[in-house]
Amino acid sequence: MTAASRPEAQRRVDDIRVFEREWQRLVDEGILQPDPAQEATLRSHHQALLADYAHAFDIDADLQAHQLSLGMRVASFLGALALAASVFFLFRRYWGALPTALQVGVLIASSLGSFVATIALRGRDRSGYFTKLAAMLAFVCFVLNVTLLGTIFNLTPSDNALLAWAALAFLLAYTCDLRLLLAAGILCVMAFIAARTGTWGGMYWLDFGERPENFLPAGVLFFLLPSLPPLAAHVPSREFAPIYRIFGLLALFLPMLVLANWGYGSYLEFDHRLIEGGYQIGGFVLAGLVIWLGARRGWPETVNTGLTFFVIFLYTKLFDWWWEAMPKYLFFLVLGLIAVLILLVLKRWRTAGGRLRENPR
Amino acid sequence: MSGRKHWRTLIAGCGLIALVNALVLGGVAYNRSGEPDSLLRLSERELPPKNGRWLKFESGGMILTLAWRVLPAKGSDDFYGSWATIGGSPVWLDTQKMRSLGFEVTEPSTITPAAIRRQRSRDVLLVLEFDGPAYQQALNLARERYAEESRLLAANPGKQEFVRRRDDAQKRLQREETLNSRLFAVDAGLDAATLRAQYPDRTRYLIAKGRVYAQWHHDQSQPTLSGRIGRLAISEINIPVELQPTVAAHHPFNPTPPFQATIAIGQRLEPWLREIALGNEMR
Repeated sequence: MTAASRPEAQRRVDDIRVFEREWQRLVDEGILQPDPAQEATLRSHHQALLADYAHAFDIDADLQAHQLSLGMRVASFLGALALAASVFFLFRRYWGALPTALQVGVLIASSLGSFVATIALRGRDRSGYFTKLAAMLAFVCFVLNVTLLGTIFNLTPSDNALLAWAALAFLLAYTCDLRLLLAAGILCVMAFIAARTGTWGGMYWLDFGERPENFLPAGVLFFLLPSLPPLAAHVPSREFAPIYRIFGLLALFLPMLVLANWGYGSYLEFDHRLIEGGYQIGGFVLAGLVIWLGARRGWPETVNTGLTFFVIFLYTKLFDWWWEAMPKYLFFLVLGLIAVLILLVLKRWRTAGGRLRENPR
Repeated sequence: MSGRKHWRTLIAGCGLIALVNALVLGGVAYNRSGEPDSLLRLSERELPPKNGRWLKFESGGMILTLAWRVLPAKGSDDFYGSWATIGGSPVWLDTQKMRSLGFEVTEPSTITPAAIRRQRSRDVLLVLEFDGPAYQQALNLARERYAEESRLLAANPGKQEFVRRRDDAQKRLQREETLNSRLFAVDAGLDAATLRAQYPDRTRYLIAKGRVYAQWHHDQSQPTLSGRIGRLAISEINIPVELQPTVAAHHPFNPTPPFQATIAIGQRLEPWLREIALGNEMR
């Protein structure tokens, strides 16, 4: 058995199922006439592999199990949200009635207790759903812990809290294979970097959203992070790397989109129209580069994000130019025709890519 | 997950939670160590309960807000209208003061739209004066206003407009004497020691972290810069449950009973409530 995690094992199981179906089809069509002994060896190897995975990871052995598993995932997510809300309102409801020392004790105990429970559950819960639920609860307890200590003792708000939350979110995400907490950790670090960038620019850290450019360094960092040699080994590429890249791209494209329409928010000391024009062009160029890079490296999420923002930048610009000047039916006709044009370009690109794969130099 | 990795994760997570809590509580202990930076005896006028309620269902306890004011320029439109609100643009926060707070102030002829856009807000230290000359000035202005409106009414007997104006001025004077906060932002700086040397009375002047925003006035030939004080970094003060019974038992859901509270500001300029007792203010 070579799979290190449940998603990896599930992918291998899915591959085996596809392989078995195609194998059977080829045998039925008479294209393949396998040696019975070899076939038996193959089948027994696959059976042993499936049994191992089922024992170790509680994988979905068939389609029905897969569908049920999707339901469990949704239930796990909703359960985690509901439990987190329950903890939050429980704290609020009875908070004022507890002495200060007890308040502090409850906060620390809930953080430690929920974290220890998550790790204990991790060893017993083969499906991982209960562990994920507990992990999200542990994260919420820790966020409440720090926030409520600030309220109890009238502390100055600090961006360092974001780093502490991110550290626990990353720890839980990597321990429990939880993409939602990975996203939470990434958002915390992004907010921290943006806040620090804003502070260096002379603004109060909580105002960091007033300057969209504060997010650009964090965007570059997270997009490149899964590809940086010293760190790439620590990023489970198939599960987490796309999340890093998507959030990195969001932190690049969203500020650019804002500044393409609101140049006053920029640090740059040019006329606001020049800044807006610059970011509009920059948005198109970056989207093009991202699509090219994603296609070249085989990163579908990168291509899709680049494509989405290319279309948003394009439609925003078309809206600026033609919404007032054109009759509405003509405006939407132009949008539709542009969508067809994009489809044709992508189709041509896909065909060219296919030919290149068939005849590599 | 192997046993060793399991333990490593457990230790890392518990260590992180313990470290963060230790840092926060250590900071609290440091803030409250030694002599407080300032110690003020305030009343419900300066410390209204959050949202105007003494206790709220599912509110998480009792919280007081620090109500402070500024004196705007005499003759400005909002002088009589909004001078009792929280925060604002004091006269002393002019171009020169803004320069001393780190805002870039260039020659009027070289000011560009980009330079105006560049400057938004800065962290500063604010000096809040309790029941001092600024409050006396506010009180005198309200009295002068009332005297002026009374004189106008005497000169125009029976005219409803002047009766209404005199009554408004009288209400404002009463509010100023009995309800409005006596805590005024009177100065700002970047260094706590310098400010403390300038305002040594620790029972009258408290130094608090706050934020100043740049605002540009375009009513002259060249834009001019002045400041607006925004929120204090900490504007809410929690009432620990140990101090609540004396107040909560008497007025569980009433709007603001009269009380006296001692607020201490510590080494990190973070406030906390030392004492609170119901009763009329002692002046």
